[in-house]
Amino acid sequence: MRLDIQGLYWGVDGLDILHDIKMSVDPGAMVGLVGPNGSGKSSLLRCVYRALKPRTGSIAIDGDDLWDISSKEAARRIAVVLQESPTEFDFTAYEIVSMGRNPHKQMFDRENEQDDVIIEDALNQVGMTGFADRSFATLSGGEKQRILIARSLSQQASFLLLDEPTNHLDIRYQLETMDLVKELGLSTLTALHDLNIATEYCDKIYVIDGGRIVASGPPPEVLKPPLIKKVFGVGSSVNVNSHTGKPRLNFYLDRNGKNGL
Amino acid sequence: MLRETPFVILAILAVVLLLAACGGDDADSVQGGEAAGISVENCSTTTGEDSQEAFPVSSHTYTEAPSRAVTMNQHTTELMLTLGLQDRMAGTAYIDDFILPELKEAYDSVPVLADEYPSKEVILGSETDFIYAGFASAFRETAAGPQADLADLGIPSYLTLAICKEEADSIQDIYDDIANISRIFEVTERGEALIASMKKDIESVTSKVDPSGTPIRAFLYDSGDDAPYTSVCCSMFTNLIELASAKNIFDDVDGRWATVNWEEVIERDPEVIVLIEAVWSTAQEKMDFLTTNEALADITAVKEQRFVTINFSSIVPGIRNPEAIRTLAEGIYPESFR
Amino acid sequence: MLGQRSRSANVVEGIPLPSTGATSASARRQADKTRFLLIGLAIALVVSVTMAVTIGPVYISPVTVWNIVLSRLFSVDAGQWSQGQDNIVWLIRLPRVLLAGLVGSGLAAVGVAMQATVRNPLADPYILGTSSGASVGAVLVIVLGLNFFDPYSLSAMAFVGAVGSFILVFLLAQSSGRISPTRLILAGVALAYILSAITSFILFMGDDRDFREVLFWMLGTLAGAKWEFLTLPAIALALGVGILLLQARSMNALLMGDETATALGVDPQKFRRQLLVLAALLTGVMVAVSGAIGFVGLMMPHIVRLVVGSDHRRVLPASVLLGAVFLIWVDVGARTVVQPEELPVSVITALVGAPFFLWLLRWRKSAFGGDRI
Repeated sequence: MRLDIQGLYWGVDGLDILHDIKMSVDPGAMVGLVGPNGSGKSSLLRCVYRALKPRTGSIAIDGDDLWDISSKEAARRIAVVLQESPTEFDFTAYEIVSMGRNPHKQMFDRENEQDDVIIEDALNQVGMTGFADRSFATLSGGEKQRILIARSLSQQASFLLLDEPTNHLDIRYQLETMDLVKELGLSTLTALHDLNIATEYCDKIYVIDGGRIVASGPPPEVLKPPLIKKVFGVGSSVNVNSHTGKPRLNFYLDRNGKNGL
Repeated sequence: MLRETPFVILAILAVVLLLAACGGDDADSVQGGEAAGISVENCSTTTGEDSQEAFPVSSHTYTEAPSRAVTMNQHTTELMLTLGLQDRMAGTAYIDDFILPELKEAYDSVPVLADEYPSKEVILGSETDFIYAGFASAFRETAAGPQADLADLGIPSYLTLAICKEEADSIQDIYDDIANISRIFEVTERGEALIASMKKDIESVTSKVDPSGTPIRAFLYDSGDDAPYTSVCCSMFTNLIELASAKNIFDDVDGRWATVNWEEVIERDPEVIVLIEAVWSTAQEKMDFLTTNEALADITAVKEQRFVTINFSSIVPGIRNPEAIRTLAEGIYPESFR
Repeated sequence: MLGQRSRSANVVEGIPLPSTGATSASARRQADKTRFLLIGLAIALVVSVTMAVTIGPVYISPVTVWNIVLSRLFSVDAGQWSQGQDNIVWLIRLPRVLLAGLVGSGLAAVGVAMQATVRNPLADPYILGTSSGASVGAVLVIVLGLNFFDPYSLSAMAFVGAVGSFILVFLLAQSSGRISPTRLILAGVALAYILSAITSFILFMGDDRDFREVLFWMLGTLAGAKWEFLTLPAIALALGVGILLLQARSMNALLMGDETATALGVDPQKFRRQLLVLAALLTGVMVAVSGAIGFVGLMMPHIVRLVVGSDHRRVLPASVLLGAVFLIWVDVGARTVVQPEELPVSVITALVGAPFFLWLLRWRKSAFGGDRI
């Protein structure tokens, strides 16, 4: 499943917030979207899962324009993992995952054996078998995240969208979640806060600032100190994570306005 | 998702609809007009609410005298009992304060259906064949239900004529009620006798008071501290006080009862204040309020302590009205009655 | 990194994977438990109807009651009883019990729908100001005597008031074409205040005696139940509940949040609008026939959720059935507690409802932000 975004503009009250966005996600690739708060990360993601309609430009999923297909069809192709949770209403983990079947169900359809198998399988894949009857509200942050990923799996979509999946998680669950997503092998677009996680897991990243894509490419090539300084306003240096072999960034506040190396 | 659920619900609904279809049309209607009988004109409410407007008039033919009448409200009960009809009654309801002592024994021989309005079921349970009501509220859904529904069940109903009309209430309405009721129950001589005795009672009072000269200004005080509730132009009280040669200071306000304000009372300066004695507001409470309130101290009636107490049930259109006229006249012109 | 470990692809191709079965077993257990509950409720409903018809201020033996019903249904002569008894059972009690069932179901269903629409379990059918609007309609008839639709004036005006207020709330809550749950609640509250003020004003201008009748209406009564008043609520209920049942999955998605709902293929704005229209119409019909009966729409979904969870595929049918049973018995109370007089229905539902909420607050600590123990 590939995603191609061309010439996308979006704004509110006549003022554009996203300008001329061009992006693509290759089949099976894990693509990260990074940028400071307010840069438009969330808005861009919301355009992709149709919560917002672009003013102009195209979003194509496997060549089909996103707005040419029905919202149910879009939901069959794209699954989203958000930080939303039903606050006052309690669902079991099973029920949450079963909501992923919604895009596949017509009004008069009932649940059937196949649905059960799909849901069970989704729970297995995220390692949450046995949690089916647990109340979602009582799960830990990491467990909740995995259930939401399982929901995406039961949607049987081949494109996964994640909005800052590691924000509120303990470090262990951050890494476990990203490992899981990576292992799933679906085409993935994820907004990320943590540049090191982006470097560790993403095949390609896009850097967005002020509603524009300012850089794209493999993380080690893109996330260099000058760019980081310009976009994030901090000095940085790069060395290597001895365990994984991937580059890792170190940050410091540059009070003198000089570039550090 | 449970397969059976929608079908169960739809099944229940189907049953209900079926019942609704077959339940609708098997009520016996009152046969009117064809058989010979006594035709009486009365009105009927459609909303079961007292209204400023007239209720539509219709006439009903009684082929035989009812034998299981139910009276709702005190004045209708007393009227029937005064005509000696207690053995044709199956129930009474909603007494305001107390039944006249001379009628007590007769009253006790008839079952009391409720302290206020009984529900429809209770009324039907009395197997009644005639309902005589004193206020339109007796025909609310939570009381006897609409008169049209009762008619469908073969139960004719009669509403006090004073309520039927838009024009002011007057004693004549009572005479007409007595005439109608006595015709329906085939006791016309008793009815005529009652009317005659009421007229005589009133005559004996009005003859003693001198109608010439400016009528005394009177104010009826029912209840209310912040704003007084009083009788206005077209209530029975206004007619009664006129017969007692006085004048209701609010007889220019439309309707039968209204909430006015103390400023108006002060400005219109009544010379005598009639205090209603009722369960919801005693005369003593009102007197205390009037005499301890400095804003009201300069009203002539308060300065001179000219108060007349009267029971609420006496000024409702009914057989107590002659006695009410006497009470009012004696209270306003005590000299004429010594 | 480009590993294709998409096991779900296998399932799509129709090759079922050997699952441990644990999850499906639990799903089946949950389905069985719910089926058991629904059947139980349905039986309780039938039993309630049968028993409620035998209870009333006038004593009629149960056997006589059932004989009367049977003879009216199947035109057989089954015994001796008076015309009064016959009328009481067939023309007063039975339509009343059935209407109680219909209204109870309808209000419960709307309660579920409103709670999903504003994503708040404290919502009830009247948060859009429908009961205040209906009250305005009612006082216009009772106090000002606007009897255009005789003999159905009261019901018709109540319906017009209810739906009218919904339309106003709907328009007020819009903001660049979108409606958020919060705006909806705010608009509803504001309008309810305005309409209550209008009602109070008209009421005060009228006769004192009108107070009692208006109060009775506002607190709800089923005393006016007649066979011909059953058809419209029955149809409205069937359609309303039917539509809601078909949308149960979408309602689940709506509870997760607008963003998630979108991601699952539900258009939250459009869906919310549809739910609101349905809720307004169904509430309007119920209020038109019985006045504003409170608490049912609020409590039934809560009680049901305590037992079956929040999945609407279970919550809806269970609430509908429980609502019917509940109101049938509440109405029995309204007929008998102060016999031979009538008590307004909401007095009883409030007496039951208030302790219920206190209990919820005290014993269910995990609900509504308490400690999650």
